[in-house]
This record gives sequence, C-alpha cells and structure tokens, in this order.
Amino acid sequence: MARVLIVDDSIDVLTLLQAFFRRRASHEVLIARNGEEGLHQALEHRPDLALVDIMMPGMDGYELIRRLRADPRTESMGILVLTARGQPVDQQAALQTGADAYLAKPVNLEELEAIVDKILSNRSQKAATVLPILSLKGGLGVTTTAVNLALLLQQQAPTALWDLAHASGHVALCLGIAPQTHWGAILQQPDMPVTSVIQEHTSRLQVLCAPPIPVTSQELGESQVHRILHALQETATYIVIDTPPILNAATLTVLRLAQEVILLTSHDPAGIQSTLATLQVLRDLRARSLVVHSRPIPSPSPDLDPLSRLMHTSIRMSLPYDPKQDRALRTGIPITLSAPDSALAKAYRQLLKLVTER
Amino acid sequence: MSEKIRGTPAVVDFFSQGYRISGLLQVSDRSLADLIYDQTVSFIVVRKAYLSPIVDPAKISAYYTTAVMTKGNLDFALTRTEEEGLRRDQRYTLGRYHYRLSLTVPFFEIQGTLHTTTRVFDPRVYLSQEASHFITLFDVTAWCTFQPELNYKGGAALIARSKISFLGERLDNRPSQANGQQQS
Repeated sequence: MARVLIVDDSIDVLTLLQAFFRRRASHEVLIARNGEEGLHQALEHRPDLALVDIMMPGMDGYELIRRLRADPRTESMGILVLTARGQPVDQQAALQTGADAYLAKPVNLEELEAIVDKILSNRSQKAATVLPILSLKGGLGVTTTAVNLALLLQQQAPTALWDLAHASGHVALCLGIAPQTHWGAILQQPDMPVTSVIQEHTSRLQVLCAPPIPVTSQELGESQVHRILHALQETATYIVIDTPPILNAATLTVLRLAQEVILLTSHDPAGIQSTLATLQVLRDLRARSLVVHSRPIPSPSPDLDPLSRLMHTSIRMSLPYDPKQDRALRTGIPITLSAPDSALAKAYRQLLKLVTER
Repeated sequence: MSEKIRGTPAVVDFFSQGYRISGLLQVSDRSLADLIYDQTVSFIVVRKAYLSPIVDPAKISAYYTTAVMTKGNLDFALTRTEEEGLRRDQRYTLGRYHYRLSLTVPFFEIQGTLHTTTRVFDPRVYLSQEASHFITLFDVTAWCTFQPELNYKGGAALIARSKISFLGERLDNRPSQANGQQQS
C-alpha cells in the first residue's frame, strides 16, 4: 500500500481518482485542489507518489513539480503528470521539469494503474527509508533501539545503521565490532568515498560508526549528510540512524529527510517536557513521528493513554525494562539476537511491524 | 470498454501572436467549429484560460477564469479530436476529396488534410472564392517555425484565412478519393 497525493483543481477528477485508488489499489489517498495545497500536503505527509495536474490556478503543475524536486524531503517522490494539455511538447515539458511520467486526460484507468505501479516499483527500488531514532533526553535506549531495529530490518531487506553521535557513539559497542573506520574520516578528507568508511556486521548489516574521539573542530554539514545518505541508499532499503540528543545541522537534516522519526519518550517530568519540545520541533520540520515509550530501568509500567493525552500525541507502544539487555550490552550481542524470546526483543519486533506497516 | 474519466471538458489550444492559450469552451451542443465559423459573433469565450509563450511550453505565464479570444486576431485553433473540429453541417457529410496541404501562419508551419467537394484543387481559387474566414484541416501537425522540435498535433485545426501567408498542396500526397464514403 502506498500513499498517493492527487493535486487537481477539478473536484470531479479528484473524486474519481480518489475512489479508483482506494477501491482498486487500496492506496492511502490525499487530495489537494491547487498547487499550494499540494505542496503543503506533500511536505506534511511525504507521499510516495503525486499525481499532478498542470493547469491549476495560482501555482501551476510545473511550478509544483519544480518545488517538490528542489526540496530534499520530496526530491525522490514519484511524480505523474495528468493533464488535459495533451500535446507532445507538454509531455516533453513535464518530463524535463522533473515528472517521472505523463498521461493526457481523459485517462484510461488501466493505463493509469500500470504507470502508477511502475513508478512505485521503481521508487521502492531506488529510495531508501530513512528512520532516525531520537530522544532529546538521554538514557532512554536510543542506541539499543537503533541497533535492534536495524538488525530486524536487515532480516527483511538490506539495511544500513548510522551512528550520528559526534561524541561517544556506542553502536559499535552494542554490535560487538571494533570500529576500523568512521564517518569522522570524511570530515578530514572530504573527497573520501563514503563506501570506504562503511563496515559490515556479521548479520550483513552495513554500519557507519561514530568517531571514537569526540569531534570538536568541525561538524557534519547538510551537504555531507546528503552525500552520506545518497551513498548508503545505493545498497540499503532502510537507513536507521542513531541520532544524538542535540539539534545540530546534521540532526536537523536527517529529521527533515526522514520518512518517519521514532521518538522515544518516558513518563518522568523531564522526559515529558523534552518530548513535548521535540514534538514541536518535528512539527516545525514537518517530520512524521512515531512516539514510543521506553523504560530502560526498572520502574512501574505507566498507563499510556493519559500520557498520550498529556503529550497531545499517540504513544504507539512501550519498550519494557528487560534485565537481559545488560548482558546483551556486555557481550556485544544485541538482545534480538542473544535473547529473541525476551520481552524487549518481542517489543522490538512489534516496533518493526509498526515501522514496516506504515 | 475501458473506463474514462468523465467530467473533463474538451480543452482547445488557441494560437495567436506567439502565444498558446489553452482553455475550456462553453459550447453546450455546439462544437468549436460552429463557434469559429459563426460570422455573427466576433469572439469566443474561454473558461480557465492558461497562457504560455509558444517557445516555452513549460511556462504558464497567466491564468484567467474567463477570457475572450477575438477571432480577428486568432491564427489558428487546434482540437484534440476530429469531431471537435466539425461544424454541425459537416457531421454527416464531409467533402469526398482529400488534399494534403502545407501552409504557414505567423510562427507556425501547419500540415493537414483538407476535405472538399472539389475534384480539382486550386489554392488560388480556394483562398479567393470561399466566403468563410477560416479553413479546417484534419489530422494536423503544427511546427513552431523557429523551433521545429516544438510541435503540436490535433484532430483538426481551424485556421484563419487572413493569417495564411503560404499555402501549397503536398505533391507527395496527391488527393485521395475517400471512395465516396460519407464521414460522420
């Protein structure tokens, strides 16, 4: 199932296509009646595909496509132009502007379905799903969650795990690997190929370790984050990012580009406060979030409903305290591998299901 | 039969003085040809009119909810289907003789097929003796003079007679009799 955005100023076309996609292809459908609304919806909801009319009042279809392609959050989304301007020059113009395909109205629905399937298939082959794990309050098990989720995803599709911490990243420790190289090398040698700093875990998970010595002289910039992500998605279907609890340029870029941010929260006052602040940041960035409660130390399990109401969001699940996690960390064998029947490993599998189903 | 999206009115492309105007017509039961050939009205009302320079098809330079095209300044109009280019009186009978013509209007070279009842086609006679201000060609391609890679195709083109600077019959495509068949 994909998320499809239809942008057209004709209410008849919107109604028909909405019904068609829901009935025949079971896609989630978003609609917009003009270019401005379409751009807003695209940035807000990150659809897999946008069907764009060209002739719309205000922002026309060409301008909408240009803006979608210029924004890192939507640059790789599929775009199909559907227009009553059916001339060869219109097809040429649409493709040159950045559309993946073009169909002239009136549309043959079988043809439309075939083209949509093709675009979605191509897109799923070339665009990786970026999944940062974040908590601005430390100590909630961000690294543990990133490592275990990445390992579970790797069992389904090629996955990369990026430890974005500038200081004391622990992904290598959790995976029991000795970091031979790290992304800090790219800061020192900007021309260095990203592939040369990727290590492979025994599970075949691709790992980009954090610098062993805290980076103080310079930080990863937006363009470097883009370069690294592009390199990782050459081979990975999923890119899990262990995100540090600091909103620097690299973190903000990653959050902006993410399909979904997995936000860990806790039920203590400090945890609630930092979650509320983080949710506001994510809203400002128009990033989708999946809020997960985490209990890394022994404590009573809270009722998630009042906590959800307090935070004005839906807390989807809880990661329980599990004494086996301490052993997993000491041995360097993550809990989903060392104790797959443990409560925490089961919770990570539930998280995997939530992530892959969305 | 494959499903079609209904409720999408016919879009017509008008070409005038270097601009392309795409829009919807208020035609009710009349075709574009009926409106164009109607000599009692000097303009055509276009809904949702989008204006583009012909040399930059990816640029929509203006949008108007309702606009008026003056027939006197129109170079030609292009319809997607042949039916949209037929006058009411042509829907049941078209000329049995077909001539493949090439002509020029400002910014364009146009090629298409003329349907006529005249066995021998003489451009001089045709241009000087016909009373209407427009001529209709079918199965049309219009090439932008300065950028031939920009071309427009249509089922029919209604071309302003006064804007034609050159008209010739294509000798590689002599008139073909349509075997006396009536076209509808």
